[in-house]
Amino acid sequence: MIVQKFEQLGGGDVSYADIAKKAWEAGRSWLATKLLDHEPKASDQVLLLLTMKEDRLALEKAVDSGDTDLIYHVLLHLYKRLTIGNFFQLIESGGPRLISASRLLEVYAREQNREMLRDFYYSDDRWVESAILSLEEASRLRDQNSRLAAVKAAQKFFSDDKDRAFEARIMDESVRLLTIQQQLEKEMGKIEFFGTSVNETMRLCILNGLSKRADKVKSDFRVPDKRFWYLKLHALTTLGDFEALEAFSKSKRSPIGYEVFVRHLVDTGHPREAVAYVPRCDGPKRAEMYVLCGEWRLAGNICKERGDKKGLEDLRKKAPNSMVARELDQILVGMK
Amino acid sequence: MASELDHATSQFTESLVDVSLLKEIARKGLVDSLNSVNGAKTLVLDASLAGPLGLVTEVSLLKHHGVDKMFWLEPGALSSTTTNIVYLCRPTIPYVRIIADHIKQHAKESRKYTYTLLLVPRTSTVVTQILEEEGVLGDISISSYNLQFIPLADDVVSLEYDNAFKNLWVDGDETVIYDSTQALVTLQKLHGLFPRVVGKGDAAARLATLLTREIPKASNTLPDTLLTPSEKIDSLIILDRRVDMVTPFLTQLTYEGLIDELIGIRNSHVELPAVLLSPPTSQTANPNVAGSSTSTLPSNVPISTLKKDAKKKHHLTTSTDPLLEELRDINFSSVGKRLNAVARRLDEDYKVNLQSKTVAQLRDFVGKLGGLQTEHQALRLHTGLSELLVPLTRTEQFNKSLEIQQNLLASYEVSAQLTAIEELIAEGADMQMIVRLLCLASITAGGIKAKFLENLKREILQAYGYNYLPLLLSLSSPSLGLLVPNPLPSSASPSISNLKYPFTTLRKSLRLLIDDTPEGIDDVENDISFTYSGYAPISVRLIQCVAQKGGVISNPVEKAANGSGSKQTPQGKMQAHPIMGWKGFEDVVASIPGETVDIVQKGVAGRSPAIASLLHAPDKSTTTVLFFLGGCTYTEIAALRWVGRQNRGRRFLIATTGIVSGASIIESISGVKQPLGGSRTAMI
Repeated sequence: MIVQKFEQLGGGDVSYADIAKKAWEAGRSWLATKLLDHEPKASDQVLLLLTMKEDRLALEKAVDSGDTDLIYHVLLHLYKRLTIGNFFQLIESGGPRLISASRLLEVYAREQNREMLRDFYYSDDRWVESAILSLEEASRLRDQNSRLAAVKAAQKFFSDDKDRAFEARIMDESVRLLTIQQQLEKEMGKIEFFGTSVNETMRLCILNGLSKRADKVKSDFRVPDKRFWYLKLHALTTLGDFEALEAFSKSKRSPIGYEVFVRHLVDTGHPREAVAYVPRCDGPKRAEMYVLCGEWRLAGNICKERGDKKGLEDLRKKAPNSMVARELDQILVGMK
Repeated sequence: MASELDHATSQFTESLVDVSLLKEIARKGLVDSLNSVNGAKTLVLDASLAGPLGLVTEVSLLKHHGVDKMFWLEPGALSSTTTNIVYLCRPTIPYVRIIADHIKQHAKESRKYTYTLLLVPRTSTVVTQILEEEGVLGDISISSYNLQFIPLADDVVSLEYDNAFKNLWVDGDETVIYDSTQALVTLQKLHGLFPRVVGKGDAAARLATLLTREIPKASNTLPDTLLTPSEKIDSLIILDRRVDMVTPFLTQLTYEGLIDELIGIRNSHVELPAVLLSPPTSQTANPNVAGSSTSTLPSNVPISTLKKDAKKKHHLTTSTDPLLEELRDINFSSVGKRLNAVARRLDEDYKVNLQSKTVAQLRDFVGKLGGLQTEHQALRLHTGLSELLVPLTRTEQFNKSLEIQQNLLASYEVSAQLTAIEELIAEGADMQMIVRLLCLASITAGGIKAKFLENLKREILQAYGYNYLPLLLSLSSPSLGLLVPNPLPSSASPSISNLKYPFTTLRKSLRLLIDDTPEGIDDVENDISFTYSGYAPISVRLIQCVAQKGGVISNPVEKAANGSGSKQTPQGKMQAHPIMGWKGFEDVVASIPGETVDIVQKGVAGRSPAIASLLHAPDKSTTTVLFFLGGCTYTEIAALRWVGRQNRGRRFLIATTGIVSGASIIESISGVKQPLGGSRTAMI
């Protein structure tokens, strides 16, 4: 009724909050709350509700308003006033209506008060978030042993959650890798292994002549052959150790084929080294591979061997200069 | 005659929304904030603001208002030659701590300064609290600089938020929604209420609620524009990014999109080799260009012989680049041809000079010379830029990735695609490429078989680092649901199954895959799918459902083209239909997870515009504002511009929280900075 009167008198510029405050001061809190419902300015509404110690209502109204700064205001106010237990309780029991507030608290605490965040997650049995928090901690720590401890803590959190078996296994791998890396650093001195990926660890080993260690990492972490072979091909090429590359390529039948070898060596500017691998490529591809290496004559010979006249003619069409053109012509003549 | 044409065009442009107004507002806001501090000042700037600010102002303006020196806001000591120190930053906690440290350090050294903090876009309780805790609140005066929409083009405005997607869906922080609401309210203050607000997505619905609630039932203090529906704008369509996550994960194939994919565009700036940007005149004897001559034809020096190290930031804008408008939105495969055509035309124009006989002709040509020089420089730039892109598009990995994308979109042999993705990991492809492909597989196939998924996750973590586990967890979380096992485990939260994306039905009902027929109509784009060489962005299809209903199920251009030649004349175009919400597509839209919005804003009774049905007037032109909550890609902009060209009388104003790409989204979620570029092998 009071509200209707105000609307009649014209304009929605009435501050219901002011009137509500008066009502509350006069001890008429029920009336105050009702009047506040009509206050369109969320901040006025919420501030008064806080003064009235209507904590849940204040938080809900703040969330409704969508004004995240207002939500922060309420959260910070309540954090100061309530015990930490009651504070968490208020938010956790708020259900879907207060999720926004909960998330904002996490955003804030993540930057400003990680202790609080840890407690918050712990009190609510949120193991995954606790684990992630540990991992974030790990990435910020300089000291290796502390980092290791943080990752182990993450592993424990994951294993406390029965649906997170995969993540727990992954963390276990991570701990094992970090331990190996610590050892490697002790042995190698200047090279920074700690914190790198499995791939990078193997790569660094190969680049620094620790081929057997790379092999051990491969088997310890059950790295698939293909991934390992690409990695070793790239690393040995970077190193420029083509003898080792050749030995490696012969160690067993390449799971990635040999075309890849040719291409990679050509791409990285080693066409002469690439030629040695062409004979090990599939028959039909050899001509193409020779061309890639700039060996047009060899490509031509392949076509001749296979009786591929058309292929030879195609090559002749693509000849990059007159010398190559003449060589191919000679071969062509030999074929007719 | 001329005046009639002028009148017609000015009428046309009058009814369009002028985005330069927004730039003016941003500039004025900055100037006012700077002027609030008297005298010379040192400006300490948050790096994430430098880009956006660079779009609304220049250094000279800052200097004009007393800025003596500028520094980055970063950890470490700060020394200033001026007494006034002005901090300009977003209200993020790490920044506030740095500021507090500066103040405390200066106090220790007994250095007397006056500190001002300008928070963008508004003041923050948290900031005040922290400054208080640090004991420096009394030493600093705090106010705000309300930077909202920044024009990126005549038809694109952006809040230039780098992490909107992550803030909304990973952190659950709704500040972006609140800030977006305020920015849209400003648009309403300028142009009137959005007569209709249509939208899709939970976040979109939240935004719509806040926006339409802003106006109290009656007030004597609000401007008229907030009480009456707009005459220039017919509606606001809000899409939240979650409603279409397929599109950002695909490789963009328009020119500008591809530049973003392979090189990276930040705040409309791209880093390019400096030599591409300097004009090839004989005066500036560029030592890097071998044999630089007075020749006016494009330089034939191959890029590889030029100094690669020197890079410079270049602002991609049509205001200084006559070619950009023509090139930015076309499929990259057509760029070469266009450049050749332009080169030939420029050549002809120069040749004309040789034929100038009369003084008048010569004077005429000299007048055009400036423009020709600019065009020549633009041609040189884009030729060079294309030459940078071409080899990157020829790598095996790039093409394998495209093939996997096409197959996933067509739901063709999904397991084979997963094997192909594993192969790419083995080869050492970029992490973001792999994660995008994996998410794409999960979305289009309704999840990935648990065993395969686990294996792939393990491969990713071993190859790129266990530190990416939080990224994978975020992607699998209930709020994003982008990487999920199929079937879902019984322990999964019910909200994940609610998020299941009906991709295969949408493919049919929204006609997402178009056969890319090479039947000689390269020049005529006949559907928005040109942006992805055969896939129509779902987000744009949804907008077509509201604003160009004819374009969803069939292609009106094809129908009209029969018999009237290949070129569409303006008179041949149909008048845009009025906005009627989702009418005709309710089922399709309902099948997509997320709330559906359709609100009419009538304004205050007795204050509606005199003309009731403006939209039915045949010559009246309106603007439809599109808002992408969570970001949009360059390809979506290109597709929307195409849609805008299909009808008379409707122009689009694209508004967004920021420009995104698949890589930028992944990078933002992972929180790990990735260097850009596609042709690297081993990682880390």
